[in-house]
Amino acid sequence: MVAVTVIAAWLPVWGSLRLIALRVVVQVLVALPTLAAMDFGSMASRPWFAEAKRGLPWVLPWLQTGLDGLTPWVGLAVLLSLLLDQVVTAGAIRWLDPDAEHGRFQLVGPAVIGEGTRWLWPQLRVVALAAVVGAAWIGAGSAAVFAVTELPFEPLRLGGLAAVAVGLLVIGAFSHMAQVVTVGDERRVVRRALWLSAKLAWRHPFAGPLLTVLASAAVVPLPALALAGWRLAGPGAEWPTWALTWLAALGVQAFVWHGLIRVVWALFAHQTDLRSTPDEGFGLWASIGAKLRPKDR
Amino acid sequence: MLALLLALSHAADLPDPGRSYDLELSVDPETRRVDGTATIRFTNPSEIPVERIPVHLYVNAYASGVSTWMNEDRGLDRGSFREYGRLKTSEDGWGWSRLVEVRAATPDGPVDVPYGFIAPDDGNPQDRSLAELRLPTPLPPGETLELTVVFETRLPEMSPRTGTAADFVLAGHAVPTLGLMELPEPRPEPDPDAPTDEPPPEPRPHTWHAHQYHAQSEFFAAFADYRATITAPEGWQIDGTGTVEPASGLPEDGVWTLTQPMVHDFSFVVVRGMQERWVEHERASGGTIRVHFLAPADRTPTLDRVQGAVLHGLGFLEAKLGPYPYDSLTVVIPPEAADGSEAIEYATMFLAQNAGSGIFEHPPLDAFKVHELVAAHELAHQYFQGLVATDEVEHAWLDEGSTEYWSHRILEDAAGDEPHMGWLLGMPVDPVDTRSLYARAGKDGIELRDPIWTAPTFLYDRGLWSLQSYDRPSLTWHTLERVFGRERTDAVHRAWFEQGRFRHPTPTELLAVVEREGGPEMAALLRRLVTETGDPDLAVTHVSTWEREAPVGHPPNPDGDAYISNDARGDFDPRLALPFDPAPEDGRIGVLLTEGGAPGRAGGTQVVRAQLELGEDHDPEAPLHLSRARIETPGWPELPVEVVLRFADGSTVRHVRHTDAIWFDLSVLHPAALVRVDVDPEHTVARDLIPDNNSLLVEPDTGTADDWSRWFTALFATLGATAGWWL
Repeated sequence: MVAVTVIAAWLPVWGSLRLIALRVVVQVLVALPTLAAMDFGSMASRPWFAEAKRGLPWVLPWLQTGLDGLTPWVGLAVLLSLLLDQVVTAGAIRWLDPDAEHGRFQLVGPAVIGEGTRWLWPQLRVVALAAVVGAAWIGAGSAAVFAVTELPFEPLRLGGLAAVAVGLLVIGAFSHMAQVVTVGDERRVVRRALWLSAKLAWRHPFAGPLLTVLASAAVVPLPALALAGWRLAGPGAEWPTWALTWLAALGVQAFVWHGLIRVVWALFAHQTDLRSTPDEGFGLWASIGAKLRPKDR
Repeated sequence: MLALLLALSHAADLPDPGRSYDLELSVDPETRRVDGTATIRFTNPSEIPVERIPVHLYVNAYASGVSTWMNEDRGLDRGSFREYGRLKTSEDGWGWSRLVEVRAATPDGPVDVPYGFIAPDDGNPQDRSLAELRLPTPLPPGETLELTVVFETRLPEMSPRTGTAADFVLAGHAVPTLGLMELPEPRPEPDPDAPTDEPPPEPRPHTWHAHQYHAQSEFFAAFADYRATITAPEGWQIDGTGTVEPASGLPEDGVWTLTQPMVHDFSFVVVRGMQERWVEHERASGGTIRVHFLAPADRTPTLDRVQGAVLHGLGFLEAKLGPYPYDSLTVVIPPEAADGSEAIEYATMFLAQNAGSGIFEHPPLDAFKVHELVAAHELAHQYFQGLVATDEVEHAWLDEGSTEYWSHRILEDAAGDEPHMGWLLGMPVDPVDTRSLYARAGKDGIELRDPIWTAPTFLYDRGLWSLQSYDRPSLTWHTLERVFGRERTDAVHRAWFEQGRFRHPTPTELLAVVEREGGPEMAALLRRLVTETGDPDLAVTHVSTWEREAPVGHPPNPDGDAYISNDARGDFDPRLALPFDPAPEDGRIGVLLTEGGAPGRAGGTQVVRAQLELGEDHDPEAPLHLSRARIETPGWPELPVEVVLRFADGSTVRHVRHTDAIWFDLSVLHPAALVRVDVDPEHTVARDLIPDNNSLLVEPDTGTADDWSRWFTALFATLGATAGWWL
């Protein structure tokens, strides 16, 4: 039954395609200011670069010139992308609530942006915690890899690196589930939501975290592969074809993103015991405070 | 024993160096100690008695944080060569070398020889990399001194060129070595007609050529015969400079011997648990070289690659330069734990690139042939510096430039038609352009103030040792090859090797060889390239083209004076009153050259003949265009400057000139518009580190620029999307 639920979750619902398109459009729009900031004009009169007869390395000093001053724009683009992605994700979670009812003519974009903005803060708290845990894992994982590199066994070394990568994916998967539980269930107390997410993941380890890890590993590299192919095609390649290929890769990525939100919703929506848990903390501080307070005589 | 006999028999073909070292050494890898006794025989070749002899104690560079080497290392941003920081935090990882006792043999028995430490380069009283023996009795000319030197050396934890790590000991220059004596030029033959009662000429003094050990230099000492017996703990294997006994297996008594005549340094490795291969390489000129490969047990693919490069290189260098004269060669691929010991040459031994994690054994990185390139480089060092023993401390560029050049020649020959440095993103990696890129990055906006030919190497301005010793000199050789042809430059190198082997030739001698074998033009260009501070930058800075109309006013007219108004220009022949007569004929055309002045010479304008090749779409009746290009040059008349103007009808005009002007304009009259101009289109001048300004289009072509802009935008979007996905 869980399998059927998971499979059915991949079928588009009302607004799915527009949601997927919205994600792609936001990602592209955010990077566009960098286009204006890049200065490749000097290349236009210097055929050396277009011909590149003697190999790619000669493009590098020119790129350094063309990309000079671009760092702030790139940093801004990446930050904006991260922020807007959280808004769109939070809004998508709200839109894809199985119990939500959308008017036939309701616009996806404004609805998603509106709801996403409203739920941005809890979303960011989940993300921040995932980032901290991820950084700690990288540190711990790197230390472990460094320790095993003392041994002359390459499989152990590569295995260590793979463990760091898989660990990051697992943390990301858990973060994804936690976002759905937090935003979808309209919870403001993130720590309670995290606990519920853990219980949900425990109940559905394959359909939840494992599926998210596998799907992420499959689609995250796709746009990068398209970019690599575009560049490998060499100067003068048919850029519209490659650009469309890259956009298609972003689209596939967005489709999987949308599907994973719906899968978690499908798993969580009927967990009444979890959903009926109050949106409050665990009372840990109150408990500690009570123990530390001197007893009344 | 057979190997020893072979070494000694081959020694009969080698010159007599006039000094020898008999070493009795013991090695303890656990304590990092190399202790022993050196019996040194030195014959005074000078015209005057010798009173003092410098002795190198190179390992003392790693004795403390205030040695000259360490002072200089701290002042450099050398990445992995931050030895000071590493040793400072180690548990006494420092190394040192001490003279316990120095005695000279006399007819009355051995006498003590006092010594002290000297610092002729920087006056650093804390540096003990150079000692000076003060002979109690001066050694007369032609006499031989026998010294017995008892010494103790503790190697540092693995440091550049010497040290220990795990089961790997590199005893690089761990024994005391006498400095090099420089003699005055040989006297001319006496005039047979000179009166016999003339007094004999005054004896001329020698000079000792011995520097302290510096962070940005390597080693330099005199040729000598070496024989060493080395005792190592059970289970450890030794090889190094010379022919080793036993040639296979481990000695029962733990005693190894290394024998090598006529080399200028002595180093060896003590290893455990490595795989080895012995390969007999047949010289084309006769005889065999026993090549001993040592590599980590799990790095067989790396060993295969290094072996291939070395064996091919031995044959190639023999064919191009001359035979490798020694009977043995040891090639060591250091294990990953010995990081810092790699890529260094010693006499009849070298260390290849560190085996590392084996990452370069696998695609796609294996295409870059890193291991092969380093092996070829260190093999070439056996010729340049090992045999042609130029001064690495004062003129490292002499050996590093040639070595770097020949390392690529070896791999290029081995690779055949394939690019020998692999492919990057679908494009072949050109080694010259890659080296140019390194040089360009190395300069990184710095205006060079030193020419290549500056001594000593360790005092290059701003510590640009790598740029000045490797990048620019190797590009110099590539430039000479491209300008004058490979055959001529090979002849130069062959003569340089023949004349310089077993000697310590100087840059002046190199220029003389180049002049003799390559011609005065080659020598003039080489001199320019190594004595100028900057790199030549040829550039096209301006192009223009316009359709010519008849001139306005009252221009000279063979049909009689006529006023040509601006409105009526179209009624007159556009070929009226040309500024110059191109007179195309027999594949040549007149081109107007305007050239800037130079010191001692005024600039001017003249018509020169250029080569004209008509294109397929050429139409002599098409509208005449006046096209102009400005070329900027370094103003070196030794450098050929080739300019090619390309026109819309497919025609080209080609002109080559040697000029001392820093700019010149070419104006061409041709019935087609100018499309682009190239200077040095084949990148003959490899020392031109900015080839991107060597061509200029009249009309910009934004296609590539737009393509890169779009791609980078997509890249930045992908970065954001990927980061956002994970979070």
